[in-house]
This record gives sequence, C-alpha cells and structure tokens, in this order.
Amino acid sequence: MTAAENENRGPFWAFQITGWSLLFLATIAVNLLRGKTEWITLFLALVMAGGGFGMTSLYRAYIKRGNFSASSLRSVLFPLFGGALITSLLWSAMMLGSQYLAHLALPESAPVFDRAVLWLTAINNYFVVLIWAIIYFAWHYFRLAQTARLDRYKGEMAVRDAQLNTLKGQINPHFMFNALNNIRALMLEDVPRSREALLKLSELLRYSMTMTEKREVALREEINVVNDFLVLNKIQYESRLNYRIEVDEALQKAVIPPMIIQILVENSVKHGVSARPDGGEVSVSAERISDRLCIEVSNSGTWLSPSNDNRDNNGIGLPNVRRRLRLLYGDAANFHIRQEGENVIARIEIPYHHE
Amino acid sequence: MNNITAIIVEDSRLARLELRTMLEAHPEVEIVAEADNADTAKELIEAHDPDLLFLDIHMPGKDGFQLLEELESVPGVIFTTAYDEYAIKSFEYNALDYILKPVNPDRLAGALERFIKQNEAAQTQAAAAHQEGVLHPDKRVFVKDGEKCWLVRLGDIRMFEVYGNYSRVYFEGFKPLILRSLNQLEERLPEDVFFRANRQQIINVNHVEKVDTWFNGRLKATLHGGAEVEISRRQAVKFKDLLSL
Repeated sequence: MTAAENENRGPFWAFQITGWSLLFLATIAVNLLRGKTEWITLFLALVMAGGGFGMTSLYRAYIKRGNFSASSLRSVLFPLFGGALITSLLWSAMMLGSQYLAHLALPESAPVFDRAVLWLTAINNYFVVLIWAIIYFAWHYFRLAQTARLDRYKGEMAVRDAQLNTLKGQINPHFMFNALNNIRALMLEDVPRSREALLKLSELLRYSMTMTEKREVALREEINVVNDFLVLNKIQYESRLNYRIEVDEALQKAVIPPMIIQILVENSVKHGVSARPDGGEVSVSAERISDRLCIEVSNSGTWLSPSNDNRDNNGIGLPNVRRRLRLLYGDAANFHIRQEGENVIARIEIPYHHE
Repeated sequence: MNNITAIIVEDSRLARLELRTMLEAHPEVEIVAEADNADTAKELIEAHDPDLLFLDIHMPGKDGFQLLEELESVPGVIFTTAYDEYAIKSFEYNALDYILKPVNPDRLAGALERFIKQNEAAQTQAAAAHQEGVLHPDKRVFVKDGEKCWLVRLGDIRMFEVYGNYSRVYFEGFKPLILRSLNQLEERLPEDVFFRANRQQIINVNHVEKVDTWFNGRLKATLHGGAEVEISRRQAVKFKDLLSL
C-alpha cells in the first residue's frame, strides 16, 4: 500500500473543509462580537478562509507530488517550513490585496490598512499554515508508522502461525504404527473391539490433521481425543496402563490450544507407563479457578529434568508445550512440572475463555 | 532344512500374537519361548540357546540393544520396531536386520531368507565343534559403540586390545570399544583361534599375514590390514606350537 493511496482514502478533505469553515465562522463571530457588522468584513473573512483553503490545498498537492512519505525527517524540513512560507505568502498576498482594494473602495467601513497590519497578517498566516502543515505531516507519519507496525505485527503473526502449525505436531508415528499393529492382532481375537479401536485411531488422526488449522479448540473435543488415545494405549499396554479423566461438565465449552493436553498425555504414557516394567497410572483433570483454566496431567514415576534424561525421550514434547503457550498467551500462561509423592504432575494455567 | 529355533522378545502381548500368527506361514521357524522384557529374555536365551531372536527395540527397563550387550554370544537377530529413525540408522553400518510393525509378510519372508543364508554354514560347523563355555568362531557378538552397532562374527575379528577397562575390537575397517577386560574375553575365546600375544593384545591367528623373528626371542606378527603385534618371549614358544599344529 503506497502513501498516496492511503491519502486518498484518508479523511483529508473532511478535515480540510471542516477546518477552514470553522475558521471562517469563528472570524465572523469575533467580528460580530466586536461590533463589526459591515458586509465588507464578511467578504474579507470569506477571502481569508477561501484563500487559506485554496492555498493549503495547492500546498498539499505539492507535498503529495514530492511523495515525502518514505524519506527522512530532514528531507521534510524544506517542504514543511519553506512550503508553509510560500503558501502563507501567497495567501497573505491574496488577503492583503483584497483588504487594500476594500480600503480603497470603502475607506470608511473597511478595516485599517497599514504597515503593522501587513506584518501581522503575514506572520499570523505563516503560523497558521505552519500549524496546518505540522498537523498534515504528523498525521501522515502517524499513519505511516501505524501501517508499518501493523505489517510487522502481521508478519509476526504469520511466523507464529507457521511455528504453531509445526509445533502443534502430529501424532507420534511410533504410537501410530504400534496401534495399527495391535489392531491387526486384535482382529484375531476380538473383532468388535478391533473395529472400535480402528475408529478411535481414525478420529485421533482426523483431529491431529484438522486441528492444526485452528488456534483454539473446545476442551470437550480435546478430551475426546485424549480419551481415544488412552483407549488405544490400553490395547498396547493392557494391565500396565490405568487412566482417569476428570473434567467438570461445566468446562466442556472452555477453549484451549489444540493438542496441548494430548502432548502431555503422550509424554505421561511414555515416561509413566511405557518405560516402566510394571506400568503405571495416567490421570487428566481440568478445573476453573476464577478466570483461569487449570489443567493437570499426572503419571506415575519420578521427574527427571531434561538434562538427566536421555536424548530420544526428550526432543519435542515439553519445550513444544512451553513455546506454544508463550506464543499464544505471552505471560498470561503458566506451565510447570512438579513431583508429588509417587507422581509427576504437569500443570498448565491459561486464561479461561469459552466458545 | 534344519528347524530354526526362535524366541520372541516383545513387551506387547498383541504384538507377540501378531508375530506368532505371521510365523505360522513359516513352519521351519519354531518358537521355543516368548519374553516381555529384557531380563526374562536373557534367562530364556541362555536356557534355550535359540538360533534366532525377534527383538523389539523399545521395551520397558532395558531396551533391545542393552539385552544384546549383556549376552555372551548373540544368536541371529531380527529387530522389530514400529517406527524409529534413530535406531534404524544404527543398522546401516552392518548386517543387522529389522522388520517394521505392522509386518509385511514379504518383508518377514525376506528377513528369514537372509538369516537362513547367513547361517547355513555356521549352524552345521557350530554344532560339530561345541565346547562347553567356549565360543565357536562362527558365533557372533554384539558390539555397540556410541550410535553405531554391529553384530560381528568372532572369526572376523582380527584383534582385541586393552583400552583401560574396555577392549578395542578390530574388524573390517572398524575398531569400536566393548566393556570387557582382555582376561574376561580370553576365557571365552576359542584358544585354537585367538592367541594372547602379550599383556595388551589378543590376535586371531587366522588373520596373521606373516611372522618375523624379533629381538630377544620375541616374534613380530603382521595382521591383515597391516597391524604389527609383538609376541612376548614366553608366548612365542606357545605360538610356534600353535602354528605347527
């Protein structure tokens, strides 16, 4: 978007007409208050406002033709001060000329015309045009800065969206292929259950594919998918995995970033069940505390900070959650992990919103 | 064809069921045991001495690699994994075979075929010369060094060398470390093939290219690949005896 296009759509003419009309009316009002009721004063006020309007409009055409928008502040100095001087001189000449003519034609009723009036008009007009120009340029720069900031913001958002799309991540392929293998085996012993499992897996895949387009989803949807995920893991780990999901009915419509609980639960299954010969328990809970939504995912085991952990266990999961929350909520989100007795608990706090 | 005895090591019951079902198409493979973790697997392998392992890489507790490292000698191994770029990369250096779950029947048949081809010769010889506690040169050992791992036939190893608490294993173009002392190794190695040349080195006599006399009644053996090994005076006599056989 160029500056010129900006101007065309800007409120210039509305301001220009309103401004000079107000100045015209104010001059008449002052004249009336001073008891100057002669028609000639009305004529002179008209020349003043009309001249100012016309001259500053020409001045603007000159500024626009120069297209100073992208240039530095220094290059604006002449168009501002010099341009204002020339404009004000032309305007003053117009006003003084008509005043002089009025003075010649109607010596009694026309206002006094002398050297002092000449200087006063010139100086006064210079300041009026200068103020006009300053407002014009200031407005212009304000708009320019605003557009730039908007563009930068849009750029950042685009980057964030791109990052989020990769961060939101897909279903862990290791899990997916294990699930498929298990379903294949389950067909040998329990066809209805294998059909059910296949359905859960497709729902999970569909969710992970479509949700990457959204910034937020209903908690209910995410919990459904987490449940599917745990059902499928139950097929893999059988008695080694126990799980609980406790989400208040009233929170069904709360919104959260997609896949965020899923990633934590995946992590919990990996560390709390898969890695432990005797398995363990995974539980998910969500509650609202005033304007905060608090989600906890816990698993059996001992929390090892990532530095103690081995490499392939700790690539993407938790840093992903942390980064996504920061990108989406800034300081308004909170994420931490703590050890509580035999359990490791990951807790997310985000501002509560609902659908 | 001889029957192939096999053990399935896999933590998921359904995955074991799946593999067992698929192996029904290969009656030459006889599944003698199944294990759902590395420790049970180790006991079963030592008890049954199977020809082949179907081994899941990811298991709770010790993983498939750790199990192999603990074994004195490693049977044939076909790894099974659902998806693991990192682990599969380590197979690129050697002949270790793997199949991906869910298992493609053709892929399984191919892996079995390769296993049989590699082991036909080995099997008959190993059966012929089996001494208690001593490994046959056709037995293989699992060697893991950082990200790389190998399943090496004992007979292909040119030399073992002391390296602190470790021993350096020389074979082909590689020389990874294993966590065994030279004395531990010496006990298990067939003494007609592996010879303790000095305090620091055990050499494979089949890989000796030439022998020169050296100072003070010592000998200098040059191995395939150019390594020169000094044989101490005390050992030189034994070495001559061994070669004159």
